[in-house]
Amino acid sequence: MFVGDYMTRHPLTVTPDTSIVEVQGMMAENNIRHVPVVEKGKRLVGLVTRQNLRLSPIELSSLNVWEITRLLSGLKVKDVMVRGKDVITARPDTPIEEAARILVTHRIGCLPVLEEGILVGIITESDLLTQLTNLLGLQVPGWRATIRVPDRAGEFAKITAAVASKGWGIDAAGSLPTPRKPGYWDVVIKISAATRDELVAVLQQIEGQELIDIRATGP
Amino acid sequence: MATVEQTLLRAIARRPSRWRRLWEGVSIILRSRTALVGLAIVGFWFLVAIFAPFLTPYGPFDQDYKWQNAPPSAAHPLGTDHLGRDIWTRLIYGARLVLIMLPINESLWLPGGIALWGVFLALVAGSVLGLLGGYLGGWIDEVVMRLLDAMMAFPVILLYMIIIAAIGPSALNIVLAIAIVGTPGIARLVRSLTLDIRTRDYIRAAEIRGESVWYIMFHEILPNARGPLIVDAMLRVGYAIFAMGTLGFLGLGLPPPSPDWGSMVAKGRQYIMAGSPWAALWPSVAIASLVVGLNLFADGLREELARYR
Amino acid sequence: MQTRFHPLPPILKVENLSISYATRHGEVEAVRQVSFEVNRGMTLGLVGESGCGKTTVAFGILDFLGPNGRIVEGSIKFQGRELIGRSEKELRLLRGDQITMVYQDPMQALNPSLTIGEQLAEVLVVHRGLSHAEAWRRSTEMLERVYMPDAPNVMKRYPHQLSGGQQQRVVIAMALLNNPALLIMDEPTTALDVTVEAAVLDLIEDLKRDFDTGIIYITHNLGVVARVCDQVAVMYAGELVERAPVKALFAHPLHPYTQGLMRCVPKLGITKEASRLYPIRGRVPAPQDRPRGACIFAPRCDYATERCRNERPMLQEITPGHSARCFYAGQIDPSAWQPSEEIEVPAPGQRVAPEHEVVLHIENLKTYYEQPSRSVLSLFGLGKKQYVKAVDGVDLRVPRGITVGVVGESGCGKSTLAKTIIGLESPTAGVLQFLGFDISMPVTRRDVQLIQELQMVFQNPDSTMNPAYTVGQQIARPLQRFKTVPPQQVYDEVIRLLHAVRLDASYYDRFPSQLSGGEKQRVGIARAFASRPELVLCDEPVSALDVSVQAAVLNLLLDIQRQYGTTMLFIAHDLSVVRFFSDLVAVMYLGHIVEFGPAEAIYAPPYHPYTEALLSAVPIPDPCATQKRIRLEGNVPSALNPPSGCVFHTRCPRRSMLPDQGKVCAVQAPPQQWNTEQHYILCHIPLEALRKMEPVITSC
Repeated sequence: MFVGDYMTRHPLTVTPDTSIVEVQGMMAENNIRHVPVVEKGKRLVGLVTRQNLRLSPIELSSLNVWEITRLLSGLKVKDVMVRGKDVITARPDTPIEEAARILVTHRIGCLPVLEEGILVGIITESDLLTQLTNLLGLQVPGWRATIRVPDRAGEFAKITAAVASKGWGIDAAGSLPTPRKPGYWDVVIKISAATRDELVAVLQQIEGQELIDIRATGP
Repeated sequence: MATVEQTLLRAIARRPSRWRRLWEGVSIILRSRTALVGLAIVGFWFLVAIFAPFLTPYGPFDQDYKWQNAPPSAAHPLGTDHLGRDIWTRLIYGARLVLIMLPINESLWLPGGIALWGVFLALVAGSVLGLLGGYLGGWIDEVVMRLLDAMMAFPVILLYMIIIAAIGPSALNIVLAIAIVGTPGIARLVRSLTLDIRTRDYIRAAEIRGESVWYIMFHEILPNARGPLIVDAMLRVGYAIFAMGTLGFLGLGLPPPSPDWGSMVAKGRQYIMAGSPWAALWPSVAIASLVVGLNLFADGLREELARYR
Repeated sequence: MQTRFHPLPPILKVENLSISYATRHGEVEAVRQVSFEVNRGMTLGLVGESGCGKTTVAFGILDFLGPNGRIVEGSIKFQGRELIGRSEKELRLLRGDQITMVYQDPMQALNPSLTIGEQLAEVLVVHRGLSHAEAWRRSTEMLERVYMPDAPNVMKRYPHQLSGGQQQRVVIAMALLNNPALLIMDEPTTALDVTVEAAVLDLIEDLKRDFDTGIIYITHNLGVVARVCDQVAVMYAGELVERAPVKALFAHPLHPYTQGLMRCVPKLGITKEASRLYPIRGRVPAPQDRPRGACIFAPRCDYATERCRNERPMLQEITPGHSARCFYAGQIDPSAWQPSEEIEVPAPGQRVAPEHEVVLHIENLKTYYEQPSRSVLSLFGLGKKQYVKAVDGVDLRVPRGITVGVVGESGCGKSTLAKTIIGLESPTAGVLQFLGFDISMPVTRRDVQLIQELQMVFQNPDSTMNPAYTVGQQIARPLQRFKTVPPQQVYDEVIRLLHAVRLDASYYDRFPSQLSGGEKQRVGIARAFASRPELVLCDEPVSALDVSVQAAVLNLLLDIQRQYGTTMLFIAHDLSVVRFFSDLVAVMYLGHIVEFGPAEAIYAPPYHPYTEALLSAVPIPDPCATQKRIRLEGNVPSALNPPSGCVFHTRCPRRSMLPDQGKVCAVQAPPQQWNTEQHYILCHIPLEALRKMEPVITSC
């Protein structure tokens, strides 16, 4: 689970001399919000986001339509981009949770992924959220069961043992401390091999655990 | 009945493709400006050579003692030489020697000039040697090519001088010299073309039919070497004219009083400082223009042929 | 496989692209309004016959059109940015950096005077500014990534020291070094042997997945398309006529041209008697003769109506993702198709009953070439002489009226065998008899009567005819030489032969330059059959032709063979063509026939391990057929020093079936094991074990 596995390879890029109008067109047409700026050899020199392209209201109010058009048509990427060292980046071997932390702490939407200064991909909020859905098995049809377990060693093993004893497989699993109820964890597992009733029967058998929700999810 | 029909059909079928090929050849020349300019120059010399007696009131040996080393005038458009001969007349009769007639002796001459005959003989000899070496390969190739290499090691001028010095200056001997000097180059060209062509499947097909070596060489290979050979031969006619000029200049050309361009330059050279450069200038211009014309024609042709290959 | 909730923008989006060339006949439109998209990790197959404009499209994307080509209209968007109208400098930055191309001939991309390592590292040093040591390290890694054995050593070698397959691997590695977003491959495996081709195709599949690269794969081979492509765009005469996911295209071709193509391809698993190939009638129009305000395929289409001839259809989507440029797409039922009367298809099941008279008798035939030694001693004739054992002990008996197919990779000796029979090479040892006469001498010393009975059809249509003579003159020559007919009848006989190969009398006075490849090949066939030979050798007669033409020529050969009762030796590397065409098949490897038998027996177990590997490598034009995956390792060993024992033991994937990992294979020559009266296998593995193997191909 590293950035290199989930990033988008071959991201759309622009050069510092590309005009702002062209970048705006590119973003709108392809429905993207971030474009890395590279120079020869795919070396990263900056990043343009939709924010960069927005003019401040104060500036806008002082100009008429013609002046805005002229201002925009003369502007180049290098005039508005976030420059070199200010761009926060990741490496292909950065763990994805680390990438998520960086995005959240810096309140940014994407990380260009570099390998020795060369742009190899880009990872965005959407990519990470997509992986969250994969983590909890949204991409496969099946039963999503939420089980509340006490916070002690061996509880997760009970679940896997119970499932394995029936010969089913766990398609996805995830766990978080139960909100507002210290001492408990909520475990979500995804199972596609069983029917609802079979699954409920097995999970309710487990001692000390509580099945709090079961529902069908899938694409 | 059927045969009549078929004969008709054959005639109908054949005609367009023949004409089209001819037209294609002509249209290639017309398309290239270079070739067209070259053709115009060469054509000019051929025309004046053919119609020489009608283009001048004088004969090539007529002397006029009143007009020695005269500048151009109405009577003598290009001036006269040191013996008072009309230079224009001598030039156009000289062109005949180069391009359209080969004197064997006083009374007998063959159509085709010295340069043309020389190159033609070189073409025949070179093609045979090149085909033999290229197609048969092996020791025949080794022997033929080493011999020709040895000949090519001599500077061309030296070779001409050795040959003419050995067999004496005469129209026929100059033809021979041109042929001997031109053979190695043509042989090399034909050999390299043959090496390429002999790998083609149609040569295999001929071999499988059990065709003779001569049939394969002259009927299967040679016709396909035609294009590059024609271009090369044209360039070689240019060199041959140049060589004739050089030999004439060195006194190894046609014996005087023949209107040989080279010897005209040689004689005229003595009077340049005396204030009459005409006798040397015009034959030089003639040699240069004919050689350049042939080169342009050949180059244009080669370019156009290569473009649509 | 990663699923995403929003689609990523395509890497390449081509819209309404038209390209034209200035030629002698004025401006000629080579590509007309072509549109397609290429996504990450996806292979788009650009399929079509020669001259349909597929390579022109690729060159248009790269702006390699040359001085006389230009883009007339349309848009090429690469990574969201328009390429048309960009400066030469910007385009140069993109090429080699984000778009790379792999050509058919690997030597076109490699510099013969630099080592592989220098060339690979240079790419990274120049484009990425890496240090030389780092570039070298990464290049070695990349070579390993393309499964190059012994990569660190290969880095130090020169291109000519590698085999064709290895060179192509180097070129692919070089193309991927920069991690390009788009890779254009122009027939990258066409020049390779089928076993090498299979390995390269496997590699392309792997790389697409690992690098997320968008690939445009240009090919004429429907089998290759079925193996590597996700999406297919079919081109005809400069237009894109159908675009679909690969499975949909093969299952339900919508455009009549695509349907026609599918009927032209010989399929493995179909026998000579039960199958017919249906060529598409007519020929591809020359660019200047293409109809403009009409369907481009109408003149050759069996379904064409008045509307097709007066109006140009647009590319319309019939089912999601599947579009065709035809008014009636979706309404045509290909299974109800009947061949029109114009095309003649030889009726199946008329095989000449095999008479038992043997026309060609070969016993223990050996043809060795002397290899010039490089030592100084050899100059004086003292060096040890070395021999290339091109044909090394071949036994073959060809009955009258039968077609014997000879298959094998290049360098297996099949062409030398043909040359020896025809008399262009002299055998070193063995018996070579034709019609009971000894023919172990060169053709020049053979009797004219024998020469006339033994003719050949060649591979390359462009060199099979002498460009200096008309068609008529060339067919007439064997008639005159062998006095097949009296001189005054030669013309009529030539016309008759032209008719026999489905050409009309007007071809008599045409020159080869005025003919298409298929027509030249027909004339070559007419010339070979002019002397009414007993045995005709066909050396890959259709491998250089387009599929639709190939079908027509194969049908023609079959037909003529039946008419004249000629015996044929059919040499080919394409196993599906051989299967379609031959009664008996000989599989050759390194100068030996390793398996011989009726075609049906060769293509079903028991197999010789080499036959099995060959069959598993053939690209099958059916994406849902499954094929065993057996890949041979290494290259064909040099015929200068063939391996001891069984010549195949160094590469044999089935050696482990024998005790001791097949020690016996390296020591002892394998026995001829007779499976049936006509079918033998040259192998140490017992027939019982070979019989138990699964068939290589299972169709669905």
